[in-house]
Amino acid sequence: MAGGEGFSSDQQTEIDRAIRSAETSCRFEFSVYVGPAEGESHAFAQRLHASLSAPDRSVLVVVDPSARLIEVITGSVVRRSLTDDAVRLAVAGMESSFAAGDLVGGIKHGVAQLAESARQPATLHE
Amino acid sequence: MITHDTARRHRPARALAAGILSALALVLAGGVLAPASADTPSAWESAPDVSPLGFLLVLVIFPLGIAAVVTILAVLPSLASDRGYEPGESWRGDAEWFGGPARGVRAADDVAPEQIEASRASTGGTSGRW
Repeated sequence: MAGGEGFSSDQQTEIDRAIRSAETSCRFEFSVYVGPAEGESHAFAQRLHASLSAPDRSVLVVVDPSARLIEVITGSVVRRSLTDDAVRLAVAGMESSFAAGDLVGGIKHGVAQLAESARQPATLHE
Repeated sequence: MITHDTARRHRPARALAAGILSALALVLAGGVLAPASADTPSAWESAPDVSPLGFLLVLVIFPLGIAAVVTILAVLPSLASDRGYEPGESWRGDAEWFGGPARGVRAADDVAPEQIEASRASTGGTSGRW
């Protein structure tokens, strides 16, 4: 019985769709890791982020449901438009969703909020 | 005007009563007439004998069996469906990486320590707990 072990295919599709729409809206790469963080969580997240294909332009969200922790790593280019304060706000939203038991919803909204904050305002003049 | 309306309102009831009466008359007439023509014509083949078991089989067991099969077919998919992670339960699934490298977490093992050190200085982000 697959129930209760990891995400169902519907849930995976939902998260995939959230990531894709985030990427199209802000033109940065998004990646979400859900699972146990090996060793120290921040170092683990850094390692995963560095292994992405374009780390500078990537946002990595690490969610460890058993240790109940979140790590968000923003690349050096993303960081210019997505400030750490904005990330902190999105993480706070995710924390409250996760605390309510809504893992999939929290990830979806968190990713969407990060993308919304990372979206550069259209420049009307050069 | 008012009397005209009430008259119209009574008409369907009257028609219904007439219908019931005529239907009853027909049934009674049939009941009276039927015994006269009850005999099977001798030219007809005699009906085959049906054992009580055959009767039960066709009229009770087959329909119940078909109903049971249909019920099982309808219920089975929802029982076996993949419900996925449910709120509040502990995470027992494997690690999943959406939008990560094709090799998954093992790709992170190949990252050189200097590379991580370099990215640590330039990356941003935050941590949280719940």
